[in-house]
Amino acid sequence: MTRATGKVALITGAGGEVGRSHALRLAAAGADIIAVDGEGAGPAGGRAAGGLAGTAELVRALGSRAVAVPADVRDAGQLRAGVDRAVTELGRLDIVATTAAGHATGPAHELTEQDWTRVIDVALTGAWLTCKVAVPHVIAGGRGGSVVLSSSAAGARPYPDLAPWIAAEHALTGLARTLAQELATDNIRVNVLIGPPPAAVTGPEPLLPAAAQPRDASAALMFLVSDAAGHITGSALPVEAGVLAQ
Amino acid sequence: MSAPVRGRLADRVAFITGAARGQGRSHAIRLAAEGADIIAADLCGPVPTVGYPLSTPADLAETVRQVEELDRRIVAHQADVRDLGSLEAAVTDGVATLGRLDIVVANAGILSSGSLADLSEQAWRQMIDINLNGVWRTCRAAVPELIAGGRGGSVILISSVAGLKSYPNIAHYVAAKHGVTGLARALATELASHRIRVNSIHPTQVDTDMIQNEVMYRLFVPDVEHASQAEFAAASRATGLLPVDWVEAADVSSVVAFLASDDARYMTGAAVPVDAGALIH
Repeated sequence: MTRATGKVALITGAGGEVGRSHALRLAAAGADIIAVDGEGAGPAGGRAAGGLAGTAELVRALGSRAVAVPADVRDAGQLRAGVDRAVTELGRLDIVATTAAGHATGPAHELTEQDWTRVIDVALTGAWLTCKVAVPHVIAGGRGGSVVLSSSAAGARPYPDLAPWIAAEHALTGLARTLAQELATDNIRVNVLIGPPPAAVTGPEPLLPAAAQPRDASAALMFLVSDAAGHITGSALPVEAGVLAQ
Repeated sequence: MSAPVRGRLADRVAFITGAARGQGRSHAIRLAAEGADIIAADLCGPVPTVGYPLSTPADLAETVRQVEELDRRIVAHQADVRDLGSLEAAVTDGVATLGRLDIVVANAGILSSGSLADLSEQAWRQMIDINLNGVWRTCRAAVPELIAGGRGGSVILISSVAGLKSYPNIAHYVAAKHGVTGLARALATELASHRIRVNSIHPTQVDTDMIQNEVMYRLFVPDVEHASQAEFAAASRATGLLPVDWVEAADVSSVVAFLASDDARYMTGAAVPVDAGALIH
């Protein structure tokens, strides 16, 4: 099992099911957790009971330290203030995992502008702002690190009536690959974790008998942040039970 | 009066953004040469965070002149892809004047640069708002007219090689262009039942004002203080396989005209490179 003792991981969307799953898995491996979530940004995979505070409590119950940062990933000032304070408290930063996402459904030519820009702001600009605020702390540590941007099958293939989500997640892949280039000299790896497609979409069924769950995403996260993935950067790892293999 | 044009696009109407100069003007002229009438939109003004001069009303007037010289009709609007209302006004006026809409070319775009540490939030947001959200707004304004026409149509989103691979120090541009790739594929799934095809084009460096400037020279030749065009040309050539410094706007327009025409009637959701081999380099 991957050990992360002494490391600090920042997770956005930490009040959601995927973010919480990441936080608890990292905490179980010994990492301290900076848990970020905001009211305006719906996390991927739905909100978990107790939200952000609930995640922080569960991390502490595992014996790790947790700092909850109630911040909207679209608000650079709020995010920077919270993250800077949390890193100061926990002493370092090694791992950054984004899971904050937004939702809007409907044909692209019928969506309101508000719906379109909200999804792009949370899922794409929010991920960039998270990296912009957090990565300097990873660089400052001088020990390298790992950034994992959460995407889904919609980041790799289209589905009808999810255009802003699909655009944002395709864009995340581009962002990750660019950051992989920019941050390689600091030994910071940047990868995309491709989860299952959003619920209730028209598209291929998973090949495997059971659809991927948040715990499966977290298992892949643990691999991507581990030394076993020490030479993996700029990749998009599919953990979606074979949806994209068709 | 000259004889009616019977080109591949005779009687069609095309809406083109960023049409005042560069690739957009080239697309307008090429589509007009093949018989289409044109609805041309361009900001014709500056954008903060963009470090090279953007188009002017005189540029747009020159596009109008060149299209009219081909005996095609053109309705030109100063419109901003950040302002949905201005695009809707251009489409509404253009369709009222020209009678229909068949082809949409979402071409408007900007370039700026900066590493993760250097890039300002304003530059990021401006880029996403123009190069990604602006493409969606173009579709939002025009696609209902295509559907209402009931004759199918062709939507062409101008992405970039950077919509399929990455380059350092332009994370916002790469993200926006990857987003455009995704948007084209999503729209293809949504609009196929209306016989509306949606494809993206992925040019490498195109010889326009967007690349022939200090910002681009610095990006490609970072180690030289004031890189010359020759130094940029060498660096640009090295990104591809074919022995060319860059491609011409007309090379992209050829693919636009093809995708717009019935020659491509069963192509949808395709990502077509015009890249001198950059994607496999």
